[in-house]
Amino acid sequence: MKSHYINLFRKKNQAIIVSTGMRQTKKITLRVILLLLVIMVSMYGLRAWIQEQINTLERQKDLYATFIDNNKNIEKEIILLHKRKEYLKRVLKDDINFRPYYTILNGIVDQPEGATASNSSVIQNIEFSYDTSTTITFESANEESSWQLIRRLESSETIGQFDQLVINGIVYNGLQEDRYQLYAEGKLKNLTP
Amino acid sequence: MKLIRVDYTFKKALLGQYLYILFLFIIAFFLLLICILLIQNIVSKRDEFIATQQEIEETERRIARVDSFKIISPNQIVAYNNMLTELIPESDTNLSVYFVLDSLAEKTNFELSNYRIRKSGEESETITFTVSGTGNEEEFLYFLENYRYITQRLITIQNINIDNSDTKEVEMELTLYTYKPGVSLTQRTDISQQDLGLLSFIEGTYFERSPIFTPTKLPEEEEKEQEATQPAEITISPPPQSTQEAPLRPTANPSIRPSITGSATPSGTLSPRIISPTPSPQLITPTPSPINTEVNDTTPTGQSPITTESVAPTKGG
Repeated sequence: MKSHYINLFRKKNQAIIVSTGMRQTKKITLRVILLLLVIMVSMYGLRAWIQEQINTLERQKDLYATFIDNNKNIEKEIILLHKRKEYLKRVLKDDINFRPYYTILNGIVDQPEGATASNSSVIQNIEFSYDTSTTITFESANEESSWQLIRRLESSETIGQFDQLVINGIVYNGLQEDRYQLYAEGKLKNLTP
Repeated sequence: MKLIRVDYTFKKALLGQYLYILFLFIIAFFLLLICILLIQNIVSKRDEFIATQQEIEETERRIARVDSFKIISPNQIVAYNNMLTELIPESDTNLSVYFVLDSLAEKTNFELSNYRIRKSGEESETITFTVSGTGNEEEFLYFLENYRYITQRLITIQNINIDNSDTKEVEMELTLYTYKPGVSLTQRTDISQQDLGLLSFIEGTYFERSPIFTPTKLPEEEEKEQEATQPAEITISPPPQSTQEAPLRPTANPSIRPSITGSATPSGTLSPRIISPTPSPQLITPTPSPINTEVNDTTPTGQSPITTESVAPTKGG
């Protein structure tokens, strides 16, 4: 059955609810606006700070650029010098730098004090590579000097200068005159720093 | 008659609040929009900041590079560069083997012959060749101590085979180098005291007396000089009259050609001149006339017979 009366109490309640809701919304919106304002100001501050930093860096960059511009040619020269120097150093590593090794190898057959030429040994042939591997042929005048040579090769002084040393063999050649040939190969210790 | 009662308070409240809230919403929306735009702006500024910072760091590296070489004067840097360019030129031909060998033999008094080019090519940075040498012990030791730089071309020995008979016969595998460095600004550079020692040693020992070597010129000065001169044609001028000013390096300056006192046969053998144990300044015969160089291109390997007349560079010249 349809009512013919208006419930004034209910209407009032609705008005109160809507009014309260509006007030809450207004309050929340105002807070959001306030928050956004704070964020916006902070952002502006941050942006200004970054911009200031960029400006500082730009000024620094300009200063550096002037320096670099003034030293452009010398910088190019420096780079070229560096590259050429590095190339030179790299290339020198491939060089055998034979002089000190030659002294060492000759030192093996150097005459001890009081020795005579008859019991001496000489280096007949040396093959030497950039990796310090070497093949040496010694020649001794007689058997005694040949044994002396072997003793010198086996001495700690000689062995200390080699990474590896192998005596391959001794050949006696008595066709023309007594000759003992001793073949050795090894790898000298690298003297290049 | 039916009475209807209208709640004005409700309507008024609804209408007034609604507009006010809508206004606040619009403000909030714009503020939000500004914030978003600001954030975007800040992000881009940050990127810009990082990019600028990286540029600064790169520039600082470049400045540090210049600073790290402050231990050498700019003139000295240019001087070392010139020296290294002479030692290791940017390009070369097989023909220079002949000049270098001739110079090497002359300056070390160690007789060199029978050169054979083993490996070379247009794109190769090296020219490798074998050569035989003869001399006494003293000459050989002098050769061993000086072969690298004495010709003012870098020479290295890869292998050596010494045959000890009455005279020392040596067969060697030598290499000449060319190198064309590129300039990269990101290249890290440094120079140590050891490097300086090496460069200083080479310069002091082998380059001091060369008039071609001009250590005091800066690139700007060279450019000015080039502008002042006529670069179009290369004039072959007579060599200096004074033996003290004779150039040491054969191929350093196109206007000054060295003498070849030996002769190369088509088979590639080099017959050097008679070598005296001591440097003989008598070999220097300054010719007032322009230098004539004839290269017979009958052999494809570039080891053709060569007749060249000029001043003979000598050791200690």
